[in-house]
Amino acid sequence: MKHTHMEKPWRAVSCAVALAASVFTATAVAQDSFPQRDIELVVGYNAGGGYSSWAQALAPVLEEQLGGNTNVLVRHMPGAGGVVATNYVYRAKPDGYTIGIFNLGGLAATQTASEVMYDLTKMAWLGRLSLDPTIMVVGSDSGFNAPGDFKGRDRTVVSTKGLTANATITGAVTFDLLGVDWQPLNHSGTSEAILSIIRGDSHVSWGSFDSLKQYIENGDLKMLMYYDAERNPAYPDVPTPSEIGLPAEINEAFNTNRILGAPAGTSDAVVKALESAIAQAVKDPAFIERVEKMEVSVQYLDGAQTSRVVNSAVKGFTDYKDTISELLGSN
Amino acid sequence: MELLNEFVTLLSQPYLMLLMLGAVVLGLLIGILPGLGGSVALALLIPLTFSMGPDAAIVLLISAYGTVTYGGAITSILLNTPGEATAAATTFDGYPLAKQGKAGKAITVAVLASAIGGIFGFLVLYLVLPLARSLVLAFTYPDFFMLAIFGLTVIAVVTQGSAFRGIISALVGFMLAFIGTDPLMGSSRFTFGSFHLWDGLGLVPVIIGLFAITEAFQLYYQKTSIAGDYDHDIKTDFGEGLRDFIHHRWLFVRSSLTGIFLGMIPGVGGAVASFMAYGSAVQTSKTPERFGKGAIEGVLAPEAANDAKEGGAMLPTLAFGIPGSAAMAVLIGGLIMHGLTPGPEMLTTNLSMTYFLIAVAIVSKLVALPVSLLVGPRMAIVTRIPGTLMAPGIVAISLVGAYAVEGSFWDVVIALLFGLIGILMKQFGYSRIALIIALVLGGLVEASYHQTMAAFGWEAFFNRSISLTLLCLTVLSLLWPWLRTSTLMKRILGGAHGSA
Repeated sequence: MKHTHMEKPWRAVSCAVALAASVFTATAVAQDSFPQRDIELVVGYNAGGGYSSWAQALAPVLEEQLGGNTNVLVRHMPGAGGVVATNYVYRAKPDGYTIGIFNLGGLAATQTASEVMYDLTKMAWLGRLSLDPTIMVVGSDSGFNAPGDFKGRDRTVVSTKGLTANATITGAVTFDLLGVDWQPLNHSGTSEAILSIIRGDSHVSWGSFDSLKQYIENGDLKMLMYYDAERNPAYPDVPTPSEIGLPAEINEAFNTNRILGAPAGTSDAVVKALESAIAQAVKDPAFIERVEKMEVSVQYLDGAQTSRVVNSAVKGFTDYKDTISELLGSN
Repeated sequence: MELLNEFVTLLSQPYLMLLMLGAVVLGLLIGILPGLGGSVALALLIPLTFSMGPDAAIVLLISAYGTVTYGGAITSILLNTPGEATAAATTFDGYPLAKQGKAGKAITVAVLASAIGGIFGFLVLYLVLPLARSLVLAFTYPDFFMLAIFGLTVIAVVTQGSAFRGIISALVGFMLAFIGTDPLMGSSRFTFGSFHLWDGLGLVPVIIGLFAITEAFQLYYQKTSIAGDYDHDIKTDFGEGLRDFIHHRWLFVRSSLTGIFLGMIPGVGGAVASFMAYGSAVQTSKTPERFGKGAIEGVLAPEAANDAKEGGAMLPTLAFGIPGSAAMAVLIGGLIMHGLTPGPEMLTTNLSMTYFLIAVAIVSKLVALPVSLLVGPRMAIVTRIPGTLMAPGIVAISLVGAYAVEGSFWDVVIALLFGLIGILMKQFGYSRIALIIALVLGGLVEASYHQTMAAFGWEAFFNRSISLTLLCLTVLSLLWPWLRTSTLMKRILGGAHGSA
């Protein structure tokens, strides 16, 4: 009994000393360390969708890479095709505690076509998670076998999902270059746009490879063109735009990239900390396993490379702005 | 029969059945929480399934998702607050019933219609599986257009007696439906420069404003409880509910079929199914004037359609891998992570998995039925809480609901704004139901019109058997009240002539 009585004050003192020491070291480290509190990872779409799944897969591994004392909280902020979330991150305090995952193709197209607050070229880019190439598809029984088959036809109906969507713009630019006359048959969702092709109500459509590949595998859709620098190894017969005589710049200009970014003005040290944590996180086996379960793959780029991709995407849409304005004005 | 084998597989595994019970309780809870619906339930549960086998994952996801609608109906009836758009039509007569002290009966009927409608939907799904692909491809734009027009005719019936104000209310609903994304171009319009309006007005915040908030104010001033002086014995609720359900069995079958049919069509949206079923209940009723004032059919029809539609929504999912609804898209995402690829293979090589899915859906509805009947009608107790306490509670809960749908404060503003509009509409005798029906169907009317013109031209409205049939039904339903009275007139005139 006495013994413990004797020990208690000592224990209290040692506790206090330890506490003071830890507080001291914490403050000492905190002056130049990031992060000190939770990070908000903003997703511009609903829970359950593709972007949400990427964010949910990344968050736990990113937490680990950032030292394990920080939570990375995924926040869904759906609305206006990701614009609500992008504006939110764009306006946020540039301290690295608010970052977002973005759909480059869609947001760059929107930035070119409408008045929005954000400017993608000004943001601090942290890396690219994946690339989702645009593809051109027709119904399997449609009789079309090559993009050139549409030349000289009287009436070509394109199944679209919003005329300012990057897939539609890709199609408009492609048909413009091929000299094909077409008219849009617009839908509010991918499901309806695909059914329209399968029913034969429209002739052709453009969309992202990830969102359409299951229908190609099922045999309902057929891919006529693959927009990337190289052919897709799984579909060696499908050409890229430059291979059928279109300008090489459209090979990659309109593709969807899933990229991570922070508000403009975020300090270099914070950007570097986040960038290297993301670079490590995408190599984490747990992350790779999750992504493989989603039947997609990681195509990582670092911050500087991502910035270049962003700038060229915005430039690509701006260069074809006339085609886009014509598209919006003439129909 | 292979389907029976899957029932045996499911029932013989206590672990799966226990998981199902848990999922059902969770689904009911999520449904009762305002603003949270089926997609939210799925999105919350999918991460939990990562460590499970595909069988357990299917049990967890389908059971929870299928039960959410029961909870949604409960808040629609008790608080006039739908958890999601699909439960919106249930408020029209559900809350008036609660005001008459019949909340327990209304909940009983809603739960019965939901559960049996859901089972009916999946049984029909099982029967039409061999025809799945051709069924889904049979309907196209002009059919959707005529369907929406047919749905609109119900406005004429619900606003009988004040046709002029009814038309004005509906036109306002149309104008509101056109806010957001223009279906022809996909660009924004009538958004007043605000990107919050790019996706249009959310149905749930508008309904919460027009109905829940408006009625809450009235409740506060009337200074009694929701059920007022009506004294109703909760013990008889089940018996009365069951009797009403059996009495309206043909309406139930018709509403379920409506739900299955609309569920099959991607992009039409779940809310349309329950509104169409509500509309057809009104039109075929001998006493349409009771609707909106507490007709039990007005609860039965949308609830049966709402659950039966899930069977229909599975059809494009299984046949093409195309989700029939937003929640179905989330479900597909969850199934893909378990190595299941929804699509034509579900009808061939993976047929046993499809049967397992149907078995799970049916058994989970059977498990959910007693659970919901045990919990639901007892919650009718809130209709006895004094209005001065309850009204602020309803406002608070419904505003949380408006916020929770999209996690947006903007929707709270919309709900409050429509609360004000609702008070004025009610005071001056404009029909809030007509406004909502036009808001729900307006987008479909416009989009399918432009789609028909782009794909086929105007002839398509008239030269397809499905669209033509729907057009005839529309004309018939508009002329029906007149025809009925006119033959009656003849008979009276004839009788008068004979006696003279």
